[in-house]
Amino acid sequence: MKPNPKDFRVDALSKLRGEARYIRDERILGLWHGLTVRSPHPRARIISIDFDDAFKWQNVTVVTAQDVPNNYVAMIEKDMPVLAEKIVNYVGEPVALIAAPSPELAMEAREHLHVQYKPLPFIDDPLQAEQSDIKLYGSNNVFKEIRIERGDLDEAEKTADKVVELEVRTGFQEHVYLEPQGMIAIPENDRIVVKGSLQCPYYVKNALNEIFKGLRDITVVHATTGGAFGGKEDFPSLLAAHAALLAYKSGHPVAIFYDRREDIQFTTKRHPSVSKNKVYVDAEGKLVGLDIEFYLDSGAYVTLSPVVLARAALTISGCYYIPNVRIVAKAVATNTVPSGAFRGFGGPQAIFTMEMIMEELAQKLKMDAHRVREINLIDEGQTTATGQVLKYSVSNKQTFYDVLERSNYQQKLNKYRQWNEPILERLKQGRYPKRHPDDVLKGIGLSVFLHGAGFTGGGENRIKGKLRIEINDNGQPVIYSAQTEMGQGQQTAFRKILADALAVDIEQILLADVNTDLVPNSGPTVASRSTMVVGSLITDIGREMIKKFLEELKQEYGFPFEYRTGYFYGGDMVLPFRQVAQKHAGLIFEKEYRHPPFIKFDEQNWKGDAYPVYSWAAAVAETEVDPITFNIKVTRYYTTHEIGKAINYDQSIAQIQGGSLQGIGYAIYEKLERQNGHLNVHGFVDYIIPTTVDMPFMDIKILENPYPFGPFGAKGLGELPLVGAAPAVVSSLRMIFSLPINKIPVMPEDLFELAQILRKNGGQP
Amino acid sequence: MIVSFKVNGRQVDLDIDPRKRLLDVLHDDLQLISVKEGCGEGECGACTVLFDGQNVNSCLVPAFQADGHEIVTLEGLKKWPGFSTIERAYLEHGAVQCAYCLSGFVVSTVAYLKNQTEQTVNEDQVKYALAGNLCRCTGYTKIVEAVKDLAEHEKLKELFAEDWPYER
Amino acid sequence: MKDEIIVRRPQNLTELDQILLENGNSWTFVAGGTDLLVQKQVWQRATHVIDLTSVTELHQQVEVLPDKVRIGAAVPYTKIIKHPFIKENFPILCEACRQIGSIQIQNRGTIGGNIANASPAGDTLPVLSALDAEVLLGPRQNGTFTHFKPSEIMAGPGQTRLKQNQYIAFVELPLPAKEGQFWAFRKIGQRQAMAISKLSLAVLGWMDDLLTIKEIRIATGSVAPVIQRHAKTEALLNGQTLTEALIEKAAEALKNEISPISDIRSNATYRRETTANVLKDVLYELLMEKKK
Repeated sequence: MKPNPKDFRVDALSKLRGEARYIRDERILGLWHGLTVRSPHPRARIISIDFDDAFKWQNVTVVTAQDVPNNYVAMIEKDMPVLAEKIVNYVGEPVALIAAPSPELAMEAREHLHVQYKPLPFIDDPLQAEQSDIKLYGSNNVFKEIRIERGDLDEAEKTADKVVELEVRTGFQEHVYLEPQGMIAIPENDRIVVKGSLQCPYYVKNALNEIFKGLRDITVVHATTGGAFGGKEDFPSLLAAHAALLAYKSGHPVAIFYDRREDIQFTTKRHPSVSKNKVYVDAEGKLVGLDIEFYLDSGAYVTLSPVVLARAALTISGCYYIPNVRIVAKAVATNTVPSGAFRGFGGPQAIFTMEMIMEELAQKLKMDAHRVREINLIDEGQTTATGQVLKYSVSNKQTFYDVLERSNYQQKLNKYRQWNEPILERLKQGRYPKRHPDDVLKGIGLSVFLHGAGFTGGGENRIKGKLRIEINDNGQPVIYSAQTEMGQGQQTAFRKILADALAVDIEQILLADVNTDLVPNSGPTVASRSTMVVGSLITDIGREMIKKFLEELKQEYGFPFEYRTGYFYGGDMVLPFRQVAQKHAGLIFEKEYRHPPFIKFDEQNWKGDAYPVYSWAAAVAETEVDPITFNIKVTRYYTTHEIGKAINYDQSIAQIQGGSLQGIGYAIYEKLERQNGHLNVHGFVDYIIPTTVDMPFMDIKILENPYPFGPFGAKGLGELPLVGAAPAVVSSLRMIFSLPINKIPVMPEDLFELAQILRKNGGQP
Repeated sequence: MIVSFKVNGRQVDLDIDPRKRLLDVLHDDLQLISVKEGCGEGECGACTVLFDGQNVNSCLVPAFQADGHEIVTLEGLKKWPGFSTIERAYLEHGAVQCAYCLSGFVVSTVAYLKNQTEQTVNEDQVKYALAGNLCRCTGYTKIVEAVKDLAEHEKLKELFAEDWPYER
Repeated sequence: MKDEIIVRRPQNLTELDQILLENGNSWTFVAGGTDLLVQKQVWQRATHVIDLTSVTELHQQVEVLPDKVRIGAAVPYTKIIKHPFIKENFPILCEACRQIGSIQIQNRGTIGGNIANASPAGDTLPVLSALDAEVLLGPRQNGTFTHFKPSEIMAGPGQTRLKQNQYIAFVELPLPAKEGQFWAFRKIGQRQAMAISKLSLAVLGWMDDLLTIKEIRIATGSVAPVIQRHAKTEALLNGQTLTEALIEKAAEALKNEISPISDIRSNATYRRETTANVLKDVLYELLMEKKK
């Protein structure tokens, strides 16, 4: 795809020249360095915190729970302490903080600080949480339970020709933003300024406002952020609180920079999921009922788990029409580092689960994997599990057929099946499987997926995102929003949306620095909402601006003007936008977001319009499996995404490439397990993400089907690519072995075991 | 201890703690902020610099080993006339996202283009040359495309031969 | 604050040996640093450090002798990979070096470091073992180095039998006969680049036109706590004609000869079966090629 010169990223050059300043690149005079003293136990009582006399404590600052004015991190609930006081609930939970003029001195101090614990029994299996005698939360360790019901499952049971049951599991995933978490807090009289690598400045501000209520005002400043993927949505509130407390107590600016080991072990992860699924189909393979019990392993504290759970529950049945549904979804507590936001936000777990249900159905019904999907695809005018009628921009079938056709799916499926047959036969017989040295098993698989754009349910109406645009002295509109650039291209997209709305060059549009003293709360940069929701405020204001200027011009000149392609035409006058705007320097436009009024959601009963609109996609993955080592390589990845309208086509493709590879990593590379309450990875040496050599050839297409309430028809994009990659890859592996694979990540060791089963049973599961 | 070496063509003499890594000296002491720490274990390549013309992870080099050698960081590459071509390829291919990994990629790109001796360029070579640089945003496709284009760029070879401002 | 740290950067072997013989300090050796600096505890606690990259002979020298090649233990992998004589005569070693880490690692990392780090996943180790390498340890006693086999140096994961202040000076590789030679180095990891081996297999052998194996050497890495040569499997193959039946027997023998471990990277069952299957693969490929 030839890039369009107009759409070059506005942040590219400073980054290419190494001039962009990330938080570790800040130079602050007298900066102290903070570190965190953490629990070594999954659950324990803190007996004492002792400072030994061998160290000169007056040279450093130590903060413990006693020093925290209001000891909780305000998110959905207030259950997570800033520092543990009596009980620690996961390995790595912060217990104390130390700041010193140098990192070395802080590390030395840590050697002299002794925390005594009494280890307690702990929960390390999400399926045991509800029945456990150990109580981490409420009476049953359930942070949130959601029930979505439609139709009547008894009816489904009666009409069903076949019932299929299966358990599906997904693992932890680490974000692996290349820049580890980092935050600096600067004390200024009655204010603390916090600057760091973060997604949601107002989340941090709100959390710190509660901690320092009445003691300090809080300003949050966004630094150039080196990737986030949800990992810098909720976690920075805790980290900022730590830095701010050290700055507050010591009176010095304090930085806390995590190294990779600390980051990978002790910051949030994607929620692992376990589900028990029962699905009812008629004789043709049409879904008549779905019964799901779905668990998210949420770790020790609530964080964002209730909303992650909601998105999972609302996504799970999304691409298919199913008349009778019961989804019981629970976010449960375990003594593990809290799970948090991660690109897709419950979607990847849900889509993997549903797609494995479809795979299992295909296998049990002896149908092709694409055929069983095809006859169940939901379409415009049909209703989802919550009873939402799909009205706008529904492209489920279009993406499905497009990707099958472009990838030549059907032909390859037949070809690869034939190709694999003799290799599999030899494996079954326990013979050397290859006919020639480069013989491999070839798989092809698919997935169908969607992602609701914006917050779940009434979320957008609660947050009421506000946007401001001011005209500066040069006649340039300056966008003031709390949306953050973390690599996804938000700065370029926002400037382009307003530039296109006003039909002026992108250089004419400026973007204010993200600082909570300057920008209004336009909501967090999450949930694939920035372009669609905040972007729609930009186009609205753009229209308002032109209207206002036309009125002013008419007032001034006494005859009407017309606005076309960047110029105001009136009488024989032609005035460029900037000249007119300059006369209105200082003029301010503000707007608050409201959902289109017909969007209704009942949050008590989980009925109605769960999301205003969905983005749709389908993918085909081709894999090769080495029949000797069972190593897996994704060779080709095709996907068709329908996102309403691509604001920056080239960078939309880039988002899809990156998200897809992250999803492929989720499927076959990234393994992180809990052993005895400890996570078993410590860095990039043992948490494996794909390299250049592992990336497949990618063939990506974007379809446009404008959503009338998004800017230029745009819907959400950021999360969607990740959501459906893993099931497509696993589908291709199931195609090879014709055996159930219902968990990710899939490792060569797992396929090796399947081959052993083939060998033992001559191919029967 | 005192170490003396060349950074981006400039001779520096520093009194350093011998435990310091080259990364610390470049980023903290010399304020060459393009040199990023991503893992500190030589896995991600964000701290890649040229050491006597070869790309290395500066997080794994004790700073004293630079004594008597020549270090070039991204800041120094900008002095080479060929840099604008590299920059343009990354820009035009849309290969920039969060960019925390980017200076490492650019340094490895230059090392590959400068040191590669093969007559023909193929994608596998390019991928192999960049495998020590991890990126989580782009999925690599656009980066590999940009570097493939650069590898076919005849003029760059001349610019390495004639206008490379450093000894190695 | 931390204790002072003393760093010495001797220019040649004589200087190096002098430092080691003259006082009673316990020295930490650093060459490419690609393993040592990852072990932050070890690096931070070192008080006396000798930089081997400053020692010309160790860092620069690849000496071609009549019947062998002598490689400085601190010569970076990249130099080995690109060395025309090594490329020509020891392609198996180049292949192993090429599969280590990334270009960045290959530009600093060294064979001496690979041996001293004593990781069962050290990629050159099974190859050195199959090449019947000799490791020369300094400081010299009466002008001579102490000789060891690579497998004798490794005592367990991360542990060597090197004495205090003993350093790895050179690796000597006897020149293998070219006629009838076959070789393979297979490294199995979780991804295709930048991987740490789950298992690796080095095979070096000689065969005549009638498919009789004159000699074969088989070594594995990552499978057990230490690098191993597999004498029983080798004995089973030596002198025999390569057939499908023989390959199956050899694979079975290797399966019984290895004692794999389970760890974060893989499990024992997979390692046992797959190591045997990889040997099978190497030999079947040889058979297919010869029968062409």
